[in-house]
Amino acid sequence: MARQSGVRPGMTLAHARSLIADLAAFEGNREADEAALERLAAWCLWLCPLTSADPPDGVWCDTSGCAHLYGGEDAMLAVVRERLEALGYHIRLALADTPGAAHALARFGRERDTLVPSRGTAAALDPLPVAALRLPTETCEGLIRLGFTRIGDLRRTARAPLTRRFGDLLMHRLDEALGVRPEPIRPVIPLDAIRAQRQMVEPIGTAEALAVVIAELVDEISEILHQRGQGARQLDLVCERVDGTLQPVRVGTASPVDQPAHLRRLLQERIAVIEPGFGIEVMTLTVSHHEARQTTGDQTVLGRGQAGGGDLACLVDRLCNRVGASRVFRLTPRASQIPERAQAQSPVTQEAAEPTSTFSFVRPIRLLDPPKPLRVEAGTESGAPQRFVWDGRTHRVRGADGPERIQGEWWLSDSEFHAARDYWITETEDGERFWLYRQGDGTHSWTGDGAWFLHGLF
Amino acid sequence: MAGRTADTLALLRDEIRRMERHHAVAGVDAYLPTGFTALDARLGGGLSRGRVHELLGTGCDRVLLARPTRFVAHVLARIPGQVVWLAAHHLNLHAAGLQGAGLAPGRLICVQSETRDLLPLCEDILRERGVAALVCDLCVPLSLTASRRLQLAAESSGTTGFLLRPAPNGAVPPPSACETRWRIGAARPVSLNCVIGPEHWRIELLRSRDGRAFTWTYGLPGHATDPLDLASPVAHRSVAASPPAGDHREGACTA
Repeated sequence: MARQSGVRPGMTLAHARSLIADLAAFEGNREADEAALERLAAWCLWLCPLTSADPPDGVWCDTSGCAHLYGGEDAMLAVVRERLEALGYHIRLALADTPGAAHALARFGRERDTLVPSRGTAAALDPLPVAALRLPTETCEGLIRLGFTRIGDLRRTARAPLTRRFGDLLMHRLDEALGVRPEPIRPVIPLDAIRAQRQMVEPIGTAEALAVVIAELVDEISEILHQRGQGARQLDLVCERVDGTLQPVRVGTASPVDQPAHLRRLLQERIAVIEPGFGIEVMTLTVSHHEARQTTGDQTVLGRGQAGGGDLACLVDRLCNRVGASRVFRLTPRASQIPERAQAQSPVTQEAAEPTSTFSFVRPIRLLDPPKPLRVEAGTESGAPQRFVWDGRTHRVRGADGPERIQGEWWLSDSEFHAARDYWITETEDGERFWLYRQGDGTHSWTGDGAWFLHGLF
Repeated sequence: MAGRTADTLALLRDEIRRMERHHAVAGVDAYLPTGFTALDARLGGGLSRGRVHELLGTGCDRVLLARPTRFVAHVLARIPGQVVWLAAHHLNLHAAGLQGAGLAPGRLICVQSETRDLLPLCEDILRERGVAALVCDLCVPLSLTASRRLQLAAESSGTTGFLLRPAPNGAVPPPSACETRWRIGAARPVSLNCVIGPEHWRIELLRSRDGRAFTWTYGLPGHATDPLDLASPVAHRSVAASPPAGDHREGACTA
């Protein structure tokens, strides 16, 4: 409303009042704003292990190695947007290789959400104004006066004269944004976090040395967890390298865990993703999410009634951390007659559901997804196929069983109101069994166009 | 002195036996029965536990691998425990079909990985003692070394591995270090009436580490629309095409 009348940030109050007479003005409180921003940065720890406030109005999140947990970078941005909007914030998101580039694109980018592909930072930054580089106002004005309006102009010009005129900061900021010069962010540390830290006398870099340190950190953490009766759901391991950059590793568990062996195994598996560079000086292990352990002891849902259940829970956690939690699942039956809808993927932590119905019809063990179109050359009066072409060969049908009619689920969508499929089990002369269906009932055109599909083999 | 020497000898023998990997499996538990009696008798009890078995499809089924999948489900239905099912693509298993083959879908932990992670993941899961078996929809070439690694991983833990290998161009994949290699396809049906009766499977043992190639033909009873439970419809019948190698025998299925 205020924006539409011409009120802009940076205006004097008198000017704004002259545009809108009954403007509601509030005095800014810089300290309270910064404290709130810090709190928001700490809240963002659900997303990734390293977050930092970027005053006055931003939050940095180092999501390296986290995107797969949300099913990719696009999906991750969508989750972030949804959760922050639910809190009532208006946000702009940018995901880039460096904090500087993300800062610039979030504020000056064309889109509301920007996703810069890896190594595409320079191209994404080139069209942005120089003000996007976090420079003092005088520097920006000076640059514009000299004709450098875009970051691309700066990148393509000689560095020495600009440094002499504007100082080191300009080129530092440019290099930081482009990733030539590392820019460490100062991560938020929640006050009540359970954490353990080891500072190395000599920088370490081998996998064995990392494993030893991880084992020590885990022992310390699990001791604390055990005393508090808590279990870790999410652990963040942050390795500080000699060159000042931070290497975060995040692992999650399906249920609260305090057993050192389990946690050690999860973390040691991720050693491969740590790049030690010239060596790691400090390693910090933080429990970023913990829950009370179940009072039944170390039994988990998976462990009920069978030996080695604890191992299995550990295996599931390890698999989830390696391939992403959404890609480890159980197949659970769902009440639907349409074959491809008759099952759902559910997380492995859930109790394996007993099959509720006894399937009265034969179903193939694998379904073609999507069903493959097929040409039926001849059929009987009852609609059974007699000869069809599949895989470049003509198959003659020896026997057919059907039709099994499946009606569309009209309660889901209007388009399925009349839809029907007729399924046939056909046996060819070679003994192959095909599961075919025809769209429609064969007489009424509104039930389907009569096209044939192969949906599976027996 | 003599006693101590005997002790030392016994200890050394134990050590050697462990090195020779005889400890991995022993006794009745060493085999997973397949449920096909003649086949089990021939194999000395079933498929070896703690080994990796390869299965191929044939004919129209050589890519989708429905029959090999059902064969594996039949075997797994006979043992307790969790099964990890690993695939690098979209996993196209159908819960109702699994249930029909006797394997409760609730026992499966399905995992979809990237193609490049498939074999390392396979090996890792095979090293796990907590799972009964690993089934992998293999879509990458398997080198001799890789198959040897998988075999060693399975032996170290006693977890059985099943590799389902599609053959898009119909060619048999190059040799591997797996314990057995099977090809499961359809046999020509006997009856000439146009009613769908029992299914006919042609189960070929293409390669086995300690035995000859072999072929069986089975009639599988229990098609849902079949009113009779036909237990042994194809006994004493010769198939049209003679098997390429080894003996040929018909058997009745008790599945």
